[in-house]
Amino acid sequence: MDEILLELSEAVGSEHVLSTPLHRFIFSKDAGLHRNQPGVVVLPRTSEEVRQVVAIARQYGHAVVVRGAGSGLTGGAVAGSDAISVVLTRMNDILEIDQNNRTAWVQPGVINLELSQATKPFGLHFAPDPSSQSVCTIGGNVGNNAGGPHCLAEGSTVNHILGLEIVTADAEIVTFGGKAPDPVGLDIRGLLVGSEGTLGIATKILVRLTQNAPAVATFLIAFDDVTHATTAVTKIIAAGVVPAALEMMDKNTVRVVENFVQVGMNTDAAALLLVETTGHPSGVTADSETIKAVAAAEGAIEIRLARDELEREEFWRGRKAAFGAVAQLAPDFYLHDIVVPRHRLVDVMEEIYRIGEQYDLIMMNVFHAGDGNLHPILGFDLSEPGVMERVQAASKDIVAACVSAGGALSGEHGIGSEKRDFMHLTFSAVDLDAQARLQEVLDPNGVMNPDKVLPSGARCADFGQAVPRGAWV
Amino acid sequence: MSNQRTISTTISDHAIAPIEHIPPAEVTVAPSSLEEMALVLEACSTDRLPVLIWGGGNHQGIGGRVEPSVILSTSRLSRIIEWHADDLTLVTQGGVTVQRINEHLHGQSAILPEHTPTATVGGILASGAAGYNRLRMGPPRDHVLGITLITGDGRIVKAGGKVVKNVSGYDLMRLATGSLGGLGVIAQVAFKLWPTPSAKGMVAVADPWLAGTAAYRPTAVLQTATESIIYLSGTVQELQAQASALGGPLSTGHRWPMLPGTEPAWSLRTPPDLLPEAIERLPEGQPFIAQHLVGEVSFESPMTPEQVRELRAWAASCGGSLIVTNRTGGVHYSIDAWGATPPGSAMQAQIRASFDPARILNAGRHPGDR
Repeated sequence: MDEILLELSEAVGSEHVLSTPLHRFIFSKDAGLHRNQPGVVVLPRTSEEVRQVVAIARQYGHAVVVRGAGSGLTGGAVAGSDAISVVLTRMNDILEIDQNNRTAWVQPGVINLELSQATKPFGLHFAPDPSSQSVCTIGGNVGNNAGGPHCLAEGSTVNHILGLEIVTADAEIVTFGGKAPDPVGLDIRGLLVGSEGTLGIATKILVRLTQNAPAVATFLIAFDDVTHATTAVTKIIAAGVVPAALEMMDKNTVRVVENFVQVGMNTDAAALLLVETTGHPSGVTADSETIKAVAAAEGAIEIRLARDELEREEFWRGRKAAFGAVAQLAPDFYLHDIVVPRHRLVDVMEEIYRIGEQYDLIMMNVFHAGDGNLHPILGFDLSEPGVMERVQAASKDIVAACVSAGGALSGEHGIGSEKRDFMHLTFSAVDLDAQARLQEVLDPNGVMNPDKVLPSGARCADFGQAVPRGAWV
Repeated sequence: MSNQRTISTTISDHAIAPIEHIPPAEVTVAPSSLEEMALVLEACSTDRLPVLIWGGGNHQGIGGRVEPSVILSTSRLSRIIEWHADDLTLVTQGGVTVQRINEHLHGQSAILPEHTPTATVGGILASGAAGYNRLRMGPPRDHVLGITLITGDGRIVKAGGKVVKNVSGYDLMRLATGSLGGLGVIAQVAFKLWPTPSAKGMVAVADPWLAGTAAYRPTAVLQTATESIIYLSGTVQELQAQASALGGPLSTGHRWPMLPGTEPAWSLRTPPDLLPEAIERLPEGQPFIAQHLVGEVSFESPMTPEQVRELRAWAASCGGSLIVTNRTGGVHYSIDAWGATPPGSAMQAQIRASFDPARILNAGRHPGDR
């Protein structure tokens, strides 16, 4: 490794090549449960430095695993022992804010919330807002096609990415897309978003900025029954209102969150909806009336409107602090991310609680109800013998329940290493093979974040009857 | 390649009468299921028969000329599969038209924000061509949740799903949108719909750029040779408030402008703030529709090669493009439809080859196919 360390040091500066046991330990995990120490950690500052790192990795036959803040949850940024972990947090310049075109060019290490703070004076913001937005990076958002509460009305990260400069597996820098609409050729920037670092490394990102809303109304609505809360979610949307955000917290979550942030949440409630509508003032008024009427018809026990911006921020602080507050119930937790069609929310929720009971795990639910994007949290104590087996079995059952309801494996956290072996539940061998062929085109030697997203053997899948004559398999 | 192409019975079994006004071909086929479509394409690949995929025919003028042996119509892939009001999602086969969807959703709480009634779902995605309300509601790229492609060699490949948020595997939905059929026949699509706005209105303005940036999230800001209109959607009260802030009377409903339909037609794409300059640079006296804040102006003009070169050079200098969007009537035109080779063109060709190894799908149409 000495020779490669020397070359990496020449490329990015020796102080930005970290190879001590402590450094490798620090970068050995993301915010999920997987852990593995990378061969070496490098922190480039420029696109050209990233290109050089990829070229060196290629020359020595090492894998490259890109990483932002490390707030991912599926092991996507956890590198193999022989791999170079490329950490982009030093690439944190906002390169340009274009007020006229409502766009910004940023480096991938820019923190999500900091971008929206920087564009606030122009009345603009970056719409994707994961709960981790105060730490997660735009590059990570691109890698995972991140969502967040406000993706209900605004769409996920892919809808807000207009251009990408990428370093390819061949160590070339190519830019796809730009400020002009509908670039000529295949939409490779769209393909790159959500590819979890397996197809290339985004080194500059052109994001679309969204107008800040002139009016906002944020409600906390309490129900004494989860089913009524869930029904209210689908009815609000069926009534033709797509709120800016429509979040749900169950009883367990409300109790720990209230204890943590103390904003006066109704702790007697079986479920709490956080509903936000934004837009033109008169549109917000009309939507607010619909939301209140639907909630009342579904038997809401409390409908509370945020009095002012301060209280609205408190409501949101409660929602976004939920994952941190879990520690009060259990020392360890496993955060799930699955999606079901909204009209199946009620029965899937019931099934998830049943699974929690079956495996004797603390089950909490705090999630993007409007999107049908569930985040069951399984609380447990890792020191308890055999508990991980129960967590894994429960999590497998949850995935199966969602898939059988017509759902998807992940709404916003990605597949990483955590869910790659579940991919065959929603995709056929032919589907996975087509994806593997794509990966082969962009990364012929399999050096970009290998062993993520696609299950092993996806390329050589046995098609049986589906094999066309003359096809090579 | 031999000129003596034989059409196997696998293909001719699905033959229909030739469709009017389309390029000559040896046979026109319309398979009635995804599986039949796959068998036909597999046979075409084996025999190296060039295929032109045909939906509603609205966007066939985009790109270069295709010289097909087989016209593959999606007209029998015409099932609406699922529609859930609670989910604001719709799953249909690729040959379903916008008009069918509009009829299906009539009086419901949801709309698919596309305008062209005869356009098919597959054609909209393959062309990536957006309705004028894309400024607020997004282009087709933003509406597609899941897709099933029949690849050139007859594989049935699906990606995405029917849920509104999904990150599991590579995004073939975005990749196929605007792919002009180069990856496969778009056989089935899951869409995210928009809630039906309670009111629609229009306000005429003097300066569309200034008014458009001042308005709060208008549906569209269109300028033609004769007028500039801000299109609004929302509640009646919101529309009235926005109209009075814009300083004009509100007229009810949305009436979209149309170009006369002469050939050739062009689309000039620039960063949005350069659109006023783009309009200045158009050939004089020609009809155009400019989409402010989007950065696209569509126009019809028999430009000279020199004019095309000049406009393309300017567009390229600001990161935009000038492409041909219609010359289906066989207008003889020696000018390349695309103008420039897109970045990563070798990668693009390899991606297409991974879906269509025999390169039979709409060959000649894509950038770099000349």
